[in-house]
Amino acid sequence: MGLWVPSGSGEFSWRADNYSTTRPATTWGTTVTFTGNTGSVANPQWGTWTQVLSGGTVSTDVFGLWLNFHDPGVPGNNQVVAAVGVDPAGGSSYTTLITDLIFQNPSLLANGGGTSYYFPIWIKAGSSIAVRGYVDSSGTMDIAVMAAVYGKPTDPASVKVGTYVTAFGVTYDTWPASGIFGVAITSGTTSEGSWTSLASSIARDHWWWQTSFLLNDATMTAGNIYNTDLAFGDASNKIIIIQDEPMRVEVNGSPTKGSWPVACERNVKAGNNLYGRIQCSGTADSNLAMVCYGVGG
Amino acid sequence: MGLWVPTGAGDFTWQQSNVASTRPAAGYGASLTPGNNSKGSYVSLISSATNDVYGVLININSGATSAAGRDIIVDIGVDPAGGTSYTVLIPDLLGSCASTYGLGGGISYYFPIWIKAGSQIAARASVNNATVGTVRVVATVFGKPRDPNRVKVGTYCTAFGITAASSQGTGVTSGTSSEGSWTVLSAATSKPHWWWQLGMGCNDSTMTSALLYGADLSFGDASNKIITVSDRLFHVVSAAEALASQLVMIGCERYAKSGLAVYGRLQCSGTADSALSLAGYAVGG
Repeated sequence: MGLWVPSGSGEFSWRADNYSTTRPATTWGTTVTFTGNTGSVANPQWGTWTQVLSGGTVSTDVFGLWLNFHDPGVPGNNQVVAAVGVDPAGGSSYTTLITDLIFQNPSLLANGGGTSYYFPIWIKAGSSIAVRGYVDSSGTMDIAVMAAVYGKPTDPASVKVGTYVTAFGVTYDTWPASGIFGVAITSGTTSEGSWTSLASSIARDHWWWQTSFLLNDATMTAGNIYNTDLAFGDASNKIIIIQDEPMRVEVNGSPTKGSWPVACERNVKAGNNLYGRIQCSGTADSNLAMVCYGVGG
Repeated sequence: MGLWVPTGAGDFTWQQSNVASTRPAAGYGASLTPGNNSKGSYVSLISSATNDVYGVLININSGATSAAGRDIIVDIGVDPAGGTSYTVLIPDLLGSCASTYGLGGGISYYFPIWIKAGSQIAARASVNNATVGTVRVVATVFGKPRDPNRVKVGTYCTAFGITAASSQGTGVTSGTSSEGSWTVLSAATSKPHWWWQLGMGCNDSTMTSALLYGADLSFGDASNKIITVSDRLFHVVSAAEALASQLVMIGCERYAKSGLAVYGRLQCSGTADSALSLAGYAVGG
Protein backbone atom coordinates (compact mmCIF):
# COMPACT_ATOMS: atom_id res chain seq x y z
CA MET A 1 0.00 0.00 0.00
CA GLY A 2 2.02 2.92 -1.27
CA LEU A 3 0.03 5.85 -0.05
CA TRP A 4 1.99 8.69 1.37
CA VAL A 5 0.87 9.01 4.94
CA PRO A 6 1.57 12.41 6.45
CA SER A 7 2.60 12.51 10.05
CA GLY A 8 0.66 14.49 12.54
CA SER A 9 -2.88 14.27 11.25
CA GLY A 10 -4.46 13.83 14.63
CA GLU A 11 -1.41 12.40 16.34
CA PHE A 12 -1.74 14.36 19.55
CA SER A 13 1.03 13.93 22.06
CA TRP A 14 -0.71 15.90 24.78
CA ARG A 15 -4.08 15.73 26.42
CA ALA A 16 -5.62 17.11 29.58
CA ASP A 17 -8.94 16.44 31.22
CA ASN A 18 -10.94 16.99 34.39
CA TYR A 19 -11.52 13.37 35.39
CA SER A 20 -8.72 10.88 34.73
CA THR A 21 -6.87 11.46 37.99
CA THR A 22 -9.93 10.49 40.00
CA ARG A 23 -11.66 7.17 40.40
CA PRO A 24 -14.40 6.42 37.89
CA ALA A 25 -17.75 7.29 39.41
CA THR A 26 -21.34 7.72 38.42
CA THR A 27 -20.73 11.45 38.55
CA TRP A 28 -17.33 11.97 36.93
CA GLY A 29 -15.74 15.23 36.01
CA THR A 30 -17.11 18.59 37.13
CA THR A 31 -20.67 19.02 38.31
CA VAL A 32 -22.34 22.02 36.72
CA THR A 33 -25.62 23.40 38.00
CA PHE A 34 -27.89 24.16 35.08
CA THR A 35 -30.32 26.81 36.06
CA GLY A 36 -34.06 26.49 35.77
CA ASN A 37 -34.98 28.89 33.05
CA THR A 38 -37.10 31.76 34.18
CA GLY A 39 -35.82 34.15 31.55
CA SER A 40 -37.61 35.31 28.47
CA VAL A 41 -37.73 33.50 25.18
CA ALA A 42 -35.51 36.07 23.57
CA ASN A 43 -33.12 36.25 26.49
CA PRO A 44 -32.83 32.90 28.25
CA GLN A 45 -31.41 32.90 31.72
CA TRP A 46 -28.14 31.04 31.65
CA GLY A 47 -26.56 29.56 34.73
CA THR A 48 -23.21 30.79 35.91
CA TRP A 49 -20.02 29.65 34.25
CA THR A 50 -18.39 26.71 36.00
CA GLN A 51 -14.77 26.10 35.16
CA VAL A 52 -14.07 22.59 33.89
CA LEU A 53 -10.42 23.11 32.90
CA SER A 54 -8.13 25.77 34.32
CA GLY A 55 -5.69 27.86 32.33
CA GLY A 56 -2.87 26.07 34.05
CA THR A 57 -4.22 22.72 32.94
CA VAL A 58 -4.60 23.90 29.36
CA SER A 59 -0.86 24.26 29.09
CA THR A 60 -0.59 24.09 25.32
CA ASP A 61 -2.68 25.06 22.32
CA VAL A 62 -5.80 22.94 21.97
CA PHE A 63 -6.71 21.31 18.65
CA GLY A 64 -9.73 19.31 19.80
CA LEU A 65 -12.32 19.39 22.58
CA TRP A 66 -14.29 16.36 23.76
CA LEU A 67 -17.27 16.82 26.05
CA ASN A 68 -19.53 14.40 27.90
CA PHE A 69 -22.66 15.32 29.84
CA HIS A 70 -24.14 12.70 32.19
CA ASP A 71 -26.02 11.83 35.33
CA PRO A 72 -28.66 14.48 35.91
CA GLY A 73 -30.00 12.22 38.66
CA VAL A 74 -33.56 13.06 37.71
CA PRO A 75 -34.51 11.05 34.62
CA GLY A 76 -37.39 12.65 32.82
CA ASN A 77 -38.31 14.89 30.00
CA ASN A 78 -36.05 17.85 30.54
CA GLN A 79 -34.36 19.53 27.63
CA VAL A 80 -30.93 20.89 28.39
CA VAL A 81 -29.06 23.75 26.76
CA ALA A 82 -25.31 24.06 27.37
CA ALA A 83 -22.61 26.47 26.31
CA VAL A 84 -18.83 26.32 26.43
CA GLY A 85 -16.90 29.44 27.29
CA VAL A 86 -13.23 30.29 27.07
CA ASP A 87 -11.12 32.90 28.80
CA PRO A 88 -7.83 33.17 26.88
CA ALA A 89 -6.30 35.03 29.81
CA GLY A 90 -6.87 32.07 32.07
CA GLY A 91 -9.28 33.91 34.31
CA SER A 92 -13.00 33.73 34.73
CA SER A 93 -14.26 36.23 32.18
CA TYR A 94 -15.59 33.81 29.63
CA THR A 95 -16.46 34.37 26.01
CA THR A 96 -18.83 31.83 24.49
CA LEU A 97 -17.09 29.46 22.09
CA ILE A 98 -19.86 26.91 21.57
CA THR A 99 -23.44 27.77 22.33
CA ASP A 100 -26.78 26.01 22.23
CA LEU A 101 -25.60 22.46 22.75
CA ILE A 102 -29.08 21.05 23.13
CA PHE A 103 -29.82 17.55 24.36
CA GLN A 104 -32.32 15.61 26.40
CA ASN A 105 -31.54 14.96 30.06
CA PRO A 106 -28.56 12.66 29.60
CA SER A 107 -28.28 9.12 30.86
CA LEU A 108 -26.17 7.95 33.73
CA LEU A 109 -22.54 7.33 32.94
CA ALA A 110 -23.02 3.74 34.05
CA ASN A 111 -26.18 3.38 32.02
CA GLY A 112 -25.31 4.21 28.47
CA GLY A 113 -22.60 6.76 29.03
CA GLY A 114 -24.41 10.08 28.65
CA THR A 115 -24.22 12.51 25.76
CA SER A 116 -20.89 13.19 24.07
CA TYR A 117 -19.53 15.54 21.41
CA TYR A 118 -16.18 16.15 19.75
CA PHE A 119 -15.17 19.44 18.19
CA PRO A 120 -11.84 19.95 16.40
CA ILE A 121 -11.58 23.56 17.48
CA TRP A 122 -8.64 25.72 18.43
CA ILE A 123 -8.24 27.15 21.92
CA LYS A 124 -5.21 29.18 22.91
CA ALA A 125 -2.77 27.76 25.47
CA GLY A 126 -3.42 29.07 28.95
CA SER A 127 -7.14 29.49 28.40
CA SER A 128 -9.55 28.42 31.06
CA ILE A 129 -12.63 26.56 29.82
CA ALA A 130 -16.04 26.65 31.44
CA VAL A 131 -19.58 25.36 30.91
CA ARG A 132 -22.93 26.91 31.73
CA GLY A 133 -26.47 26.07 30.86
CA TYR A 134 -30.13 25.88 31.66
CA VAL A 135 -33.00 23.42 31.52
CA ASP A 136 -36.58 23.83 30.43
CA SER A 137 -38.02 23.66 33.91
CA SER A 138 -38.31 25.87 36.93
CA GLY A 139 -35.87 23.79 38.97
CA THR A 140 -32.14 23.49 38.62
CA MET A 141 -30.40 20.35 37.41
CA ASP A 142 -26.90 19.18 38.28
CA ILE A 143 -25.13 17.62 35.33
CA ALA A 144 -21.65 16.13 35.41
CA VAL A 145 -19.41 17.39 32.61
CA MET A 146 -16.31 15.56 31.46
CA ALA A 147 -13.97 17.60 29.28
CA ALA A 148 -10.81 16.50 27.52
CA VAL A 149 -8.60 18.60 25.28
CA TYR A 150 -5.97 17.45 22.80
CA GLY A 151 -2.90 19.14 21.43
CA LYS A 152 0.77 18.99 20.52
CA PRO A 153 0.25 17.19 17.23
CA THR A 154 3.38 15.84 15.61
CA ASP A 155 2.90 18.20 12.68
CA PRO A 156 0.62 21.11 13.59
CA ALA A 157 0.55 22.46 10.05
CA SER A 158 -1.16 19.35 8.76
CA VAL A 159 -3.88 19.19 11.42
CA LYS A 160 -7.26 20.48 10.43
CA VAL A 161 -8.66 22.66 13.20
CA GLY A 162 -11.53 25.12 13.21
CA THR A 163 -12.21 28.42 14.89
CA TYR A 164 -15.99 28.64 15.11
CA VAL A 165 -18.98 26.40 15.82
CA THR A 166 -22.47 27.10 14.52
CA ALA A 167 -25.63 25.53 15.89
CA PHE A 168 -28.32 24.77 13.30
CA GLY A 169 -31.95 24.01 14.00
CA VAL A 170 -32.11 25.73 17.36
CA THR A 171 -35.57 27.05 18.08
CA TYR A 172 -36.89 28.72 21.17
CA ASP A 173 -40.10 30.02 19.72
CA THR A 174 -42.39 27.70 21.60
CA TRP A 175 -40.51 27.71 24.85
CA PRO A 176 -41.49 27.48 27.65
CA ALA A 177 -44.99 26.35 26.85
CA SER A 178 -44.06 22.65 26.70
CA GLY A 179 -42.42 23.19 23.38
CA ILE A 180 -39.22 21.76 21.99
CA PHE A 181 -35.89 23.42 21.42
CA GLY A 182 -34.86 21.80 18.15
CA VAL A 183 -36.58 21.26 14.83
CA ALA A 184 -39.54 18.93 15.25
CA ILE A 185 -39.06 15.72 13.33
CA THR A 186 -41.17 12.64 12.66
CA SER A 187 -39.34 9.37 12.98
CA GLY A 188 -39.53 6.66 10.42
CA THR A 189 -40.21 3.18 11.71
CA THR A 190 -40.04 0.36 9.18
CA SER A 191 -38.43 2.74 6.70
CA GLU A 192 -36.39 5.90 6.96
CA GLY A 193 -38.18 9.04 8.07
CA SER A 194 -38.54 11.97 5.73
CA TRP A 195 -35.79 14.52 5.38
CA THR A 196 -36.57 17.54 7.52
CA SER A 197 -34.92 20.91 6.97
CA LEU A 198 -32.65 21.97 9.81
CA ALA A 199 -31.27 25.08 8.14
CA SER A 200 -31.60 26.89 4.84
CA SER A 201 -28.73 28.52 3.03
CA ILE A 202 -26.14 28.43 5.78
CA ALA A 203 -24.10 31.61 6.02
CA ARG A 204 -20.58 30.21 6.28
CA ASP A 205 -18.50 27.25 5.22
CA HIS A 206 -18.24 24.36 7.68
CA TRP A 207 -16.29 21.09 7.51
CA TRP A 208 -16.96 19.13 10.73
CA TRP A 209 -20.36 18.01 11.99
CA GLN A 210 -22.05 16.76 15.14
CA THR A 211 -25.71 16.08 15.79
CA SER A 212 -28.06 16.22 18.71
CA PHE A 213 -31.39 14.57 19.18
CA LEU A 214 -34.18 15.32 21.61
CA LEU A 215 -37.19 13.35 22.73
CA ASN A 216 -39.19 15.45 25.12
CA ASP A 217 -41.38 12.62 26.29
CA ALA A 218 -42.16 11.91 29.95
CA THR A 219 -42.70 8.26 29.16
CA MET A 220 -39.95 7.46 26.71
CA THR A 221 -39.52 3.80 25.86
CA ALA A 222 -36.44 2.13 27.28
CA GLY A 223 -34.52 0.27 24.64
CA ASN A 224 -35.70 2.41 21.75
CA ILE A 225 -32.93 3.08 19.24
CA TYR A 226 -32.96 6.04 16.87
CA ASN A 227 -30.63 6.01 13.91
CA THR A 228 -29.93 9.56 12.87
CA ASP A 229 -28.83 10.88 9.48
CA LEU A 230 -27.51 14.34 8.64
CA ALA A 231 -27.24 15.61 5.08
CA PHE A 232 -26.62 18.77 3.10
CA GLY A 233 -27.79 19.84 -0.31
CA ASP A 234 -31.13 21.00 -1.60
CA ALA A 235 -34.66 19.75 -1.92
CA SER A 236 -33.76 17.36 -4.73
CA ASN A 237 -30.18 16.32 -4.01
CA LYS A 238 -28.81 15.42 -0.63
CA ILE A 239 -25.37 14.25 0.35
CA ILE A 240 -25.30 12.35 3.60
CA ILE A 241 -22.66 13.48 6.07
CA ILE A 242 -23.45 11.32 9.09
CA GLN A 243 -25.35 8.09 8.57
CA ASP A 244 -27.05 5.94 11.19
CA GLU A 245 -25.57 7.56 14.25
CA PRO A 246 -27.34 5.73 17.08
CA MET A 247 -29.15 7.41 19.96
CA ARG A 248 -30.67 5.22 22.64
CA VAL A 249 -33.16 5.37 25.46
CA GLU A 250 -31.48 3.62 28.35
CA VAL A 251 -33.21 1.63 31.04
CA ASN A 252 -33.73 4.56 33.32
CA GLY A 253 -35.58 6.51 30.66
CA SER A 254 -32.70 8.80 29.84
CA PRO A 255 -31.21 8.97 26.38
CA THR A 256 -27.64 8.34 25.32
CA LYS A 257 -25.66 9.83 22.48
CA GLY A 258 -22.20 8.41 22.22
CA SER A 259 -19.22 10.20 20.90
CA TRP A 260 -19.39 9.89 17.11
CA PRO A 261 -16.22 11.24 15.56
CA VAL A 262 -16.19 8.92 12.56
CA ALA A 263 -16.98 10.34 9.13
CA CYS A 264 -18.03 13.69 10.58
CA GLU A 265 -15.68 15.62 8.33
CA ARG A 266 -17.38 17.00 5.25
CA ASN A 267 -16.87 20.30 3.50
CA VAL A 268 -20.17 22.12 3.15
CA LYS A 269 -20.09 25.46 1.42
CA ALA A 270 -22.12 28.43 2.50
CA GLY A 271 -25.50 28.51 0.82
CA ASN A 272 -26.30 24.86 1.26
CA ASN A 273 -29.28 23.59 3.20
CA LEU A 274 -29.04 21.07 6.04
CA TYR A 275 -31.42 18.18 6.59
CA GLY A 276 -31.98 15.53 9.23
CA ARG A 277 -33.98 12.33 9.44
CA ILE A 278 -34.38 9.52 11.95
CA GLN A 279 -35.57 5.94 12.07
CA CYS A 280 -36.73 4.22 15.24
CA SER A 281 -36.43 0.59 16.26
CA GLY A 282 -39.97 0.51 17.66
CA THR A 283 -42.86 2.80 18.27
CA ALA A 284 -41.33 6.23 18.33
CA ASP A 285 -41.55 8.43 21.38
CA SER A 286 -43.23 11.80 21.13
CA ASN A 287 -41.83 15.31 20.76
CA LEU A 288 -38.77 14.34 18.73
CA ALA A 289 -36.44 17.04 17.53
CA MET A 290 -33.02 17.41 15.97
CA VAL A 291 -30.20 19.94 16.01
CA CYS A 292 -26.77 19.89 14.40
CA TYR A 293 -23.47 21.69 14.77
CA GLY A 294 -20.89 22.64 12.19
CA VAL A 295 -17.26 23.60 12.75
CA GLY A 296 -15.61 25.97 10.32
CA GLY A 297 -12.63 28.25 9.96
CA MET B 1 -6.36 31.32 12.91
CA GLY B 2 -3.96 31.02 10.01
CA LEU B 3 -3.22 27.34 10.00
CA TRP B 4 -3.20 25.73 6.64
CA VAL B 5 -5.97 23.19 6.74
CA PRO B 6 -5.60 20.50 4.10
CA THR B 7 -8.71 19.08 2.59
CA GLY B 8 -9.41 15.45 2.51
CA ALA B 9 -7.99 14.19 5.76
CA GLY B 10 -10.88 11.93 6.61
CA ASP B 11 -13.40 13.71 4.44
CA PHE B 12 -14.97 10.47 3.26
CA THR B 13 -17.68 10.73 0.64
CA TRP B 14 -18.75 7.11 0.70
CA GLN B 15 -19.71 4.53 3.28
CA GLN B 16 -21.18 1.04 3.15
CA SER B 17 -22.65 -1.05 5.92
CA ASN B 18 -24.38 -4.32 6.58
CA VAL B 19 -27.22 -2.45 8.28
CA ALA B 20 -27.66 0.64 6.12
CA SER B 21 -31.08 -0.36 4.89
CA THR B 22 -32.08 -2.13 8.07
CA ARG B 23 -34.31 -0.77 10.79
CA PRO B 24 -32.38 -0.42 14.06
CA ALA B 25 -33.04 -3.23 16.51
CA ALA B 26 -31.83 -4.51 19.86
CA GLY B 27 -29.99 -7.30 18.07
CA TYR B 28 -28.42 -5.47 15.14
CA GLY B 29 -26.21 -6.72 12.36
CA ALA B 30 -25.09 -10.16 11.30
CA SER B 31 -25.62 -13.01 13.75
CA LEU B 32 -22.55 -15.17 14.38
CA THR B 33 -22.46 -18.53 16.07
CA PRO B 34 -19.17 -18.73 17.92
CA GLY B 35 -17.19 -21.86 18.57
CA ASN B 36 -16.49 -22.84 22.15
CA ASN B 37 -13.00 -21.38 22.52
CA SER B 38 -12.46 -21.90 18.83
CA LYS B 39 -13.43 -19.73 15.94
CA GLY B 40 -16.82 -20.48 14.41
CA SER B 41 -17.64 -20.16 10.75
CA TYR B 42 -17.33 -16.88 8.94
CA VAL B 43 -20.50 -14.91 8.28
CA SER B 44 -20.42 -12.36 5.49
CA LEU B 45 -20.85 -8.74 6.55
CA ILE B 46 -20.24 -6.93 3.26
CA SER B 47 -20.34 -9.05 0.14
CA SER B 48 -18.40 -6.62 -2.02
CA ALA B 49 -16.90 -3.32 -0.99
CA THR B 50 -17.96 -0.89 -3.69
CA ASN B 51 -14.83 1.24 -3.31
CA ASP B 52 -11.45 1.04 -1.66
CA VAL B 53 -11.91 1.14 2.10
CA TYR B 54 -9.94 3.56 4.31
CA GLY B 55 -11.66 2.92 7.63
CA VAL B 56 -13.63 0.15 9.34
CA LEU B 57 -16.12 0.69 12.15
CA ILE B 58 -17.06 -2.48 14.00
CA ASN B 59 -19.81 -2.85 16.59
CA ILE B 60 -20.21 -6.06 18.57
CA ASN B 61 -23.57 -6.44 20.29
CA SER B 62 -26.02 -8.93 21.77
CA GLY B 63 -23.43 -11.40 23.01
CA ALA B 64 -24.51 -11.32 26.64
CA THR B 65 -26.66 -13.84 28.48
CA SER B 66 -28.05 -13.42 31.97
CA ALA B 67 -26.07 -15.23 34.67
CA ALA B 68 -23.36 -16.32 32.24
CA GLY B 69 -19.76 -15.28 31.79
CA ARG B 70 -19.20 -14.97 28.07
CA ASP B 71 -15.77 -13.79 27.02
CA ILE B 72 -15.96 -13.41 23.25
CA ILE B 73 -13.38 -12.58 20.59
CA VAL B 74 -14.22 -11.71 16.99
CA ASP B 75 -12.07 -11.85 13.86
CA ILE B 76 -12.72 -9.62 10.87
CA GLY B 77 -11.68 -11.43 7.72
CA VAL B 78 -11.30 -10.25 4.15
CA ASP B 79 -11.23 -11.99 0.80
CA PRO B 80 -9.80 -9.48 -1.70
CA ALA B 81 -11.11 -11.61 -4.56
CA GLY B 82 -14.65 -11.20 -3.30
CA GLY B 83 -15.03 -14.86 -2.42
CA THR B 84 -15.22 -16.63 0.91
CA SER B 85 -11.58 -17.56 1.35
CA TYR B 86 -10.98 -15.12 4.16
CA THR B 87 -7.73 -13.93 5.66
CA VAL B 88 -7.90 -12.36 9.10
CA LEU B 89 -7.36 -8.62 8.83
CA ILE B 90 -8.45 -7.48 12.31
CA PRO B 91 -7.91 -10.25 14.85
CA ASP B 92 -9.52 -11.15 18.15
CA LEU B 93 -11.65 -8.12 18.97
CA LEU B 94 -12.90 -8.47 22.52
CA GLY B 95 -16.68 -8.43 22.60
CA SER B 96 -17.08 -9.97 26.01
CA CYS B 97 -20.70 -10.02 27.19
CA ALA B 98 -21.53 -7.30 24.66
CA SER B 99 -24.83 -5.65 25.50
CA THR B 100 -27.68 -5.24 23.06
CA TYR B 101 -27.60 -2.45 20.52
CA GLY B 102 -30.56 -0.89 22.31
CA LEU B 103 -29.32 -0.86 25.89
CA GLY B 104 -25.71 0.22 26.15
CA GLY B 105 -25.06 -0.23 22.47
CA GLY B 106 -22.48 -2.99 22.70
CA ILE B 107 -18.79 -2.41 22.09
CA SER B 108 -17.38 -0.47 19.15
CA TYR B 109 -13.97 -0.15 17.52
CA TYR B 110 -12.60 1.93 14.66
CA PHE B 111 -9.62 1.01 12.48
CA PRO B 112 -8.13 3.19 9.71
CA ILE B 113 -7.15 0.23 7.58
CA TRP B 114 -7.17 -0.32 3.85
CA ILE B 115 -9.30 -2.94 2.09
CA LYS B 116 -9.36 -3.30 -1.66
CA ALA B 117 -12.54 -2.52 -3.57
CA GLY B 118 -14.45 -5.68 -4.42
CA SER B 119 -13.37 -7.48 -1.27
CA GLN B 120 -15.82 -9.49 0.74
CA ILE B 121 -15.68 -8.78 4.49
CA ALA B 122 -16.79 -11.29 7.09
CA ALA B 123 -16.61 -12.05 10.80
CA ARG B 124 -16.25 -15.12 12.99
CA ALA B 125 -16.25 -15.52 16.75
CA SER B 126 -15.16 -17.62 19.69
CA VAL B 127 -16.80 -17.74 23.12
CA ASN B 128 -15.59 -19.04 26.46
CA ASN B 129 -18.82 -20.87 27.21
CA ALA B 130 -20.07 -24.33 26.27
CA THR B 131 -23.43 -22.83 25.47
CA VAL B 132 -22.14 -20.88 22.53
CA GLY B 133 -25.22 -18.81 21.75
CA THR B 134 -24.81 -16.01 19.26
CA VAL B 135 -23.26 -12.57 18.95
CA ARG B 136 -23.97 -9.86 16.41
CA VAL B 137 -21.64 -7.66 14.40
CA VAL B 138 -22.29 -4.40 12.58
CA ALA B 139 -19.64 -3.35 10.06
CA THR B 140 -19.46 0.03 8.38
CA VAL B 141 -16.66 0.91 5.98
CA PHE B 142 -15.61 4.34 4.75
CA GLY B 143 -13.88 5.51 1.60
CA LYS B 144 -13.65 7.92 -1.31
CA PRO B 145 -11.82 10.62 0.62
CA ARG B 146 -11.62 13.94 -1.15
CA ASP B 147 -7.84 13.65 -1.31
CA PRO B 148 -6.68 10.05 -0.90
CA ASN B 149 -3.02 11.02 -0.78
CA ARG B 150 -3.55 12.87 2.46
CA VAL B 151 -5.44 10.18 4.32
CA LYS B 152 -3.45 8.09 6.74
CA VAL B 153 -4.43 4.46 6.34
CA GLY B 154 -2.78 1.27 7.54
CA THR B 155 -2.39 -2.18 6.10
CA TYR B 156 -2.16 -4.46 9.11
CA CYS B 157 -3.67 -4.77 12.55
CA THR B 158 -2.07 -6.57 15.49
CA ALA B 159 -3.81 -7.79 18.63
CA PHE B 160 -1.84 -7.71 21.88
CA GLY B 161 -2.61 -9.79 24.94
CA ILE B 162 -5.11 -12.26 23.53
CA THR B 163 -5.53 -15.65 25.21
CA ALA B 164 -7.29 -17.54 22.45
CA ALA B 165 -7.76 -20.71 24.50
CA SER B 166 -10.23 -18.89 26.71
CA SER B 167 -11.43 -16.21 24.26
CA GLN B 168 -10.14 -13.41 26.44
CA GLY B 169 -7.37 -10.90 26.86
CA THR B 170 -4.62 -10.84 29.44
CA GLY B 171 -5.85 -11.13 33.01
CA VAL B 172 -5.80 -7.79 34.84
CA THR B 173 -6.42 -6.85 38.44
CA SER B 174 -8.45 -3.69 38.51
CA GLY B 175 -7.51 -0.79 40.71
CA THR B 176 -10.23 0.65 42.89
CA SER B 177 -9.42 3.82 44.80
CA SER B 178 -6.28 4.24 42.71
CA GLU B 179 -5.23 3.11 39.25
CA GLY B 180 -4.46 -0.56 38.82
CA SER B 181 -0.95 -1.65 38.00
CA TRP B 182 0.23 -1.65 34.42
CA THR B 183 0.00 -5.18 33.05
CA VAL B 184 2.11 -6.30 30.12
CA LEU B 185 -0.03 -7.18 27.10
CA SER B 186 2.97 -7.66 24.83
CA ALA B 187 6.63 -7.66 25.83
CA ALA B 188 7.86 -6.34 22.50
CA THR B 189 5.99 -5.46 19.33
CA SER B 190 7.48 -6.84 16.15
CA LYS B 191 6.34 -4.04 13.85
CA PRO B 192 5.67 -0.31 14.09
CA HIS B 193 2.11 0.85 14.71
CA TRP B 194 0.38 4.22 14.78
CA TRP B 195 -3.32 3.69 15.65
CA TRP B 196 -4.58 2.10 18.88
CA GLN B 197 -7.78 0.60 20.24
CA LEU B 198 -8.47 -1.11 23.55
CA GLY B 199 -10.80 -3.96 24.49
CA MET B 200 -11.92 -5.33 27.85
CA GLY B 201 -13.20 -8.74 28.87
CA CYS B 202 -15.17 -9.85 31.89
CA ASN B 203 -15.99 -13.53 32.29
CA ASP B 204 -18.11 -13.14 35.40
CA SER B 205 -21.54 -14.76 35.69
CA THR B 206 -22.56 -12.33 38.44
CA MET B 207 -21.47 -8.92 37.24
CA THR B 208 -22.35 -5.92 39.34
CA SER B 209 -24.84 -3.70 37.60
CA ALA B 210 -23.75 -0.14 36.81
CA LEU B 211 -20.08 -0.66 37.60
CA LEU B 212 -17.74 1.57 35.64
CA TYR B 213 -14.26 0.68 34.46
CA GLY B 214 -11.77 3.22 33.16
CA ALA B 215 -9.29 1.38 30.94
CA ASP B 216 -5.91 2.70 29.81
CA LEU B 217 -3.59 1.46 27.08
CA SER B 218 0.05 2.48 26.75
CA PHE B 219 3.30 1.51 25.10
CA GLY B 220 6.88 1.96 26.22
CA ASP B 221 9.01 0.12 28.75
CA ALA B 222 9.04 -0.63 32.45
CA SER B 223 9.97 2.95 33.34
CA ASN B 224 8.36 5.09 30.67
CA LYS B 225 4.92 4.68 29.22
CA ILE B 226 3.01 6.74 26.70
CA ILE B 227 -0.74 6.45 27.12
CA THR B 228 -2.55 6.03 23.83
CA VAL B 229 -6.06 5.32 25.07
CA SER B 230 -6.98 7.07 28.31
CA ASP B 231 -9.97 6.02 30.38
CA ARG B 232 -12.00 4.19 27.80
CA LEU B 233 -15.14 3.67 29.85
CA PHE B 234 -16.75 0.26 30.00
CA HIS B 235 -19.91 -0.11 32.03
CA VAL B 236 -22.00 -3.01 33.21
CA VAL B 237 -25.43 -2.40 31.76
CA SER B 238 -28.35 -2.82 34.14
CA ALA B 239 -29.47 -5.81 32.18
CA ALA B 240 -27.58 -8.64 33.78
CA GLU B 241 -24.04 -9.58 32.75
CA ALA B 242 -23.80 -7.17 29.84
CA LEU B 243 -20.92 -4.85 28.98
CA ALA B 244 -20.99 -1.71 26.85
CA SER B 245 -18.57 1.01 25.81
CA GLN B 246 -18.94 4.04 23.59
CA LEU B 247 -16.65 4.39 20.61
CA VAL B 248 -13.28 5.99 21.37
CA MET B 249 -11.29 7.50 18.51
CA ILE B 250 -9.83 10.78 19.66
CA GLY B 251 -6.21 10.59 20.74
CA CYS B 252 -5.82 7.05 19.43
CA GLU B 253 -3.23 7.99 16.83
CA ARG B 254 0.28 7.62 18.20
CA TYR B 255 3.35 6.29 16.46
CA ALA B 256 5.19 3.46 18.24
CA LYS B 257 8.25 1.89 16.73
CA SER B 258 8.71 -1.87 16.94
CA GLY B 259 10.28 -3.43 20.00
CA LEU B 260 8.26 -1.55 22.56
CA ALA B 261 6.07 -3.19 25.18
CA VAL B 262 2.30 -2.72 25.32
CA TYR B 263 0.53 -2.28 28.67
CA GLY B 264 -3.01 -2.07 29.99
CA ARG B 265 -4.55 -1.14 33.32
CA LEU B 266 -8.00 -0.76 34.85
CA GLN B 267 -9.68 1.23 37.57
CA CYS B 268 -13.17 0.40 38.81
CA SER B 269 -15.84 2.56 40.41
CA GLY B 270 -16.67 -0.11 43.02
CA THR B 271 -15.77 -3.64 43.94
CA ALA B 272 -14.46 -5.07 40.72
CA ASP B 273 -15.98 -8.09 39.01
CA SER B 274 -13.88 -11.17 38.55
CA ALA B 275 -12.05 -12.56 35.52
CA LEU B 276 -11.20 -9.19 33.99
CA SER B 277 -8.91 -8.98 31.00
CA LEU B 278 -7.57 -6.45 28.53
CA ALA B 279 -6.31 -6.55 24.96
CA GLY B 280 -4.79 -3.88 22.76
CA TYR B 281 -5.09 -3.49 19.00
CA ALA B 282 -2.83 -1.46 16.79
CA VAL B 283 -2.77 -0.55 13.12
CA GLY B 284 0.46 -0.10 11.21
CA GLY B 285 1.73 0.07 7.66
